Amino acid sequence: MSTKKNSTKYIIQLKDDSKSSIKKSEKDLSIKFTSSAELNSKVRAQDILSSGNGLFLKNLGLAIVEDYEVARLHSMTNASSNPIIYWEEERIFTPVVELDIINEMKVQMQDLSNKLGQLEELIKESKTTNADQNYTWGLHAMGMELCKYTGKGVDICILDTGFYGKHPDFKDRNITGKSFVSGEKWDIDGHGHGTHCTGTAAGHFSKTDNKRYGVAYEANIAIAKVLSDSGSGSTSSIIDAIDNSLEKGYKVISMSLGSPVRIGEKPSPIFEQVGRKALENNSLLIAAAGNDSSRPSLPKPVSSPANAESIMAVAALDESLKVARFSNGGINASNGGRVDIAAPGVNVFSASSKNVGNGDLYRTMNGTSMATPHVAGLAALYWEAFPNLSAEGIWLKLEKKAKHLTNQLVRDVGQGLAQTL
Amino acid sequence: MKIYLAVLKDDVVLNTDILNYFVDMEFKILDYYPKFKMLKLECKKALNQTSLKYVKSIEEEKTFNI
Repeated sequence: MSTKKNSTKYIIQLKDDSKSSIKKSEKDLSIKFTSSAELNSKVRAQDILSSGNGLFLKNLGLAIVEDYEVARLHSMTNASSNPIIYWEEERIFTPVVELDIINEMKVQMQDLSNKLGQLEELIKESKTTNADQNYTWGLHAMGMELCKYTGKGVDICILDTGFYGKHPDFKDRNITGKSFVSGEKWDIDGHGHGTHCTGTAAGHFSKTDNKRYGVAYEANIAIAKVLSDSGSGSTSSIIDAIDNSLEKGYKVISMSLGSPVRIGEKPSPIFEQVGRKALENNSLLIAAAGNDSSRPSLPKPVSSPANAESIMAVAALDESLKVARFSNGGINASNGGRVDIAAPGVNVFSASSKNVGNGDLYRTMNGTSMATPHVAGLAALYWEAFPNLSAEGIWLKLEKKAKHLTNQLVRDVGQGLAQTL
Repeated sequence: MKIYLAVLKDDVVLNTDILNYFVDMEFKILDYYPKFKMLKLECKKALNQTSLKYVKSIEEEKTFNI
């Protein structure tokens, strides 16, 4: 068995194509040239070259030789009397247009590959395990689709009407609770408001239609029932629950409750003391701004306890990112009753208690009560991301990251729409 | 009967003398929240009918709603 060696061809340019010049070249190169005029079906160019002869292309004045000594070609080209004026090794040519297209495609494929890699990273980081998930408008507005934080390990305490403890969406969650309302258990929620707020702050997605409605879905949930099943409670129940929360070291305390105040009324020194002590204990109190307004003609001042300087006040936005018609504003700002931030509070879908009405597990509600747990959930995400930050640091970060809302007054929406990290 | 919440002054330490003072002033102590230095008090009298020592601020219990 023999192996054919790849031959190398050289193209030679002669000084002229006169017979005398060709003869001289044949003599100097020690090679016999066959003219291309002699080629036919029996005498092929490759046969001539393979036999050690050269091929003279009579119409071009060029000759082709195969496997010739390069050093000899060099010396003959440099000699002034030599008939060879130029030579070069045969090159491989491909169609230029096709190459351009291929190169362009290579660049585009590399670009696409980079983008796919980035997308892959994003999907991995966001831990979005269920590709069919869709989000409530509120979570979408806060940028939750791209958020990689889950609130893992952060305790959120919800002060409200309690929680429906048998809700299937919370089956495997770490939930503790205590009732501060005489004769009513924390895990029944005969109103549904508390379950809805808990769902927004720390729920995940609806197991029936796969809609994501909760912010910090890996946070630890603590329920403090401070409002009765009729939806009302007292100052002392709330203070008792906050005292208990600080004792337990809960980081985020969400209060979707309020008591209206008059224009010019100063904040309660009681709640100012509570809010300040909470911050000193590294807990952040977040409260609803209140729903007493009838906009645009009649905005009302931020309710108590949200009007305390040391408690974060949350206003409600509708789906067009405008302040909700019922949401209270910073009318008493000179006394500390400002709105600090805003969040979705109209048509908010979340969990509900089966012990209410027709026993639905989900419900859509309106109110600054619905806006508040959005911010509470975000605070848990921020704390997961920045575990060493103080409560005041988390507050400042939430405000700093908030999305400025054009054509909305700071009086009504504070620093703007709360955003995820 | 009215329920009040009172924040003690910063330099006040809740001891027997202080507790007896509130009893003498016809206040029944219902609870104490140490994290906030706050007392929950019960009294027949309205706030404008009395003045209290040792107290930084006091207000009547309010109702809060959803």
